Amino acid sequence: MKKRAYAVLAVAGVILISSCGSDAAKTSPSTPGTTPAGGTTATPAAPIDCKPVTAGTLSVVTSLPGPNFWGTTQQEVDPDKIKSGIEFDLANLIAAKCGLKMSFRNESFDALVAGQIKPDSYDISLSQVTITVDRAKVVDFSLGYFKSDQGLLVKKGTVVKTFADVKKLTIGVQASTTAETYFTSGTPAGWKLDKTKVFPDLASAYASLNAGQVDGIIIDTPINLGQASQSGGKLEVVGQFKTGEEYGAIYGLGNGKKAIFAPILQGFLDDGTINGLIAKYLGGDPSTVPFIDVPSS
Amino acid sequence: MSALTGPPAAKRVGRVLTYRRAALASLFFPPAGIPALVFSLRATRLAAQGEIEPAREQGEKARDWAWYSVGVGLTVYAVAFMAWLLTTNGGSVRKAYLAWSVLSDGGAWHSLLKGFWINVQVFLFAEVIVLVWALVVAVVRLLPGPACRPIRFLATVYVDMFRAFPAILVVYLVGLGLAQADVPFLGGLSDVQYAILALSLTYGAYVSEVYRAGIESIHWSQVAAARSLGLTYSQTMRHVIVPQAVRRVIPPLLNDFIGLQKDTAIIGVIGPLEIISRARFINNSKGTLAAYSMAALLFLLATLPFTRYLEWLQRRRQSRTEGGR
Repeated sequence: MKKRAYAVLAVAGVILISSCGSDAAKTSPSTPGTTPAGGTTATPAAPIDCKPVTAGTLSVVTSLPGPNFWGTTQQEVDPDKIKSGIEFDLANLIAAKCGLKMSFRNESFDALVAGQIKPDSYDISLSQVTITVDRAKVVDFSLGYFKSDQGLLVKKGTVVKTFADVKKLTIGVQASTTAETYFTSGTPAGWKLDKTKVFPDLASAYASLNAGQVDGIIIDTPINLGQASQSGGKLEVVGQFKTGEEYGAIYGLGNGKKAIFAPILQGFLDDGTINGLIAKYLGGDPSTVPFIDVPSS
Repeated sequence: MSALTGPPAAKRVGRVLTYRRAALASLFFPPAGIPALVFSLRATRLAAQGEIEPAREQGEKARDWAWYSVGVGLTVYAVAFMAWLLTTNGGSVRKAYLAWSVLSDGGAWHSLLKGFWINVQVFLFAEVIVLVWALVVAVVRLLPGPACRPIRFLATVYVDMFRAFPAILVVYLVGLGLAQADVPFLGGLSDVQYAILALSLTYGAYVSEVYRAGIESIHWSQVAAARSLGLTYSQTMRHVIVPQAVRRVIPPLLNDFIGLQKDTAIIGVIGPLEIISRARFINNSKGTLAAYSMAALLFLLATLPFTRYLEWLQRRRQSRTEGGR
């Protein structure tokens, strides 16, 4: 028995030694993303000094999965080999501006938005995080780089022009999303719909739409646009509701990263780079979807 | 089998398998049930003719076939039910769980295996730590005398707490809390190391109870004998009690380790891209649960040798300790 126990210890010890530095498995050195449509990525002669936490590397944090943002839907199966996505490309473009190579790692979403990731362990986090007042108390937010109003996805041919049209439909939402707050509990007042179904996850909501059990799905416009472009023309986003939600990059609270990256992000917004990425991966620019006014009651 | 008591032989033969029971068996699964019915009828007829021995033989066959009918029938129906599930609704179940596009994707397997390697490391390390740590806790809890009361109390509090906390909670508290608070020595570990620490704490509490049960199951006369030979308390534990106790608790211990292996599935919540996080990623990009099925298979393959070894150990122990019976 004793000998066997030592043998087990020895084997474990060997594994311990051989697996040192296995953290590398979490991150993936990546090649700069493809040049997005409409983007001007001419690197300035002198890269900006971004004061990275790790020399030579832009350390990015995200919370996987994030379809179309980190990895493209339907294609990628290995988080270490992500080669595309809105935030992936954006991270690479930022790294290029700083003259760094980009490396990202996965973290818990809850910990990320609660400011529980060590501020000195990353430079920037791009993880489809909606900017809220409460979150801004524990992390620094960039300016919003992505508008995420609530979009309505229906089968092609469903005519929806006004909020009264929407009220006639049976609408599916995902539990715990802002859409559920808006459309099932009616906060703010007047947004409540008569016929709603709440789904535990998005996949079953979309399956229900395809099966005709609901007439429409409301969730962040970009997510619905992604689904619409996947459906091969069977589904379309007919309208969206203005909620003013925006995704922002996260930095460690008060560590000065915000000031460093703000001009870079602003530049990508101004020259249309980010809109180009959105159009490329979501098959449509959310800002082209017509808004449906909710009559205030 | 004495004929001195009980009803006459002919009647008892008739009871070997009643015609009705055989009929039920034949209805349940005809291919095996009909022979049962035939043998049963034959047995009844022979018994009526007073041919006791052939009747008993036929009755035995009828009983065998009735059991085949139940066993084979249940298997066939279970398989048929699975097949029906997989093909029903246009194969939607098959697409949901076993989408070929993902099952046949070498990249997906490679990705999951890379993740599983993290799980394997976590459970191997945690198991080694638990093996030692739990024994320490168990021995401390059994220290004798009033002077050891405070330290016994400490060990008891630890066991009570960590047996009560769900493992996922400990993973959160250790994995996120220690890093955020920047605790000295423990603030700078990697996610995987935090996961090992959290699972070791949780399972250390369970396994210490297993050890304790083992130690307490050793008869007190062993202690008395050892002490009267002049061994100190620690020598008694080290050379007499613990070796016997450990041997006794190996099966329940390994059982807890199987639980530990499975619980490595929760460590993804603090960040490491282990197998479940990767399966989620694939599920999100491919829109099918096939990656979860693949992960389930990998866990099964990792646990099977363990469970079989466990069974073999138990059988061997039985034959050693109770072989003479």
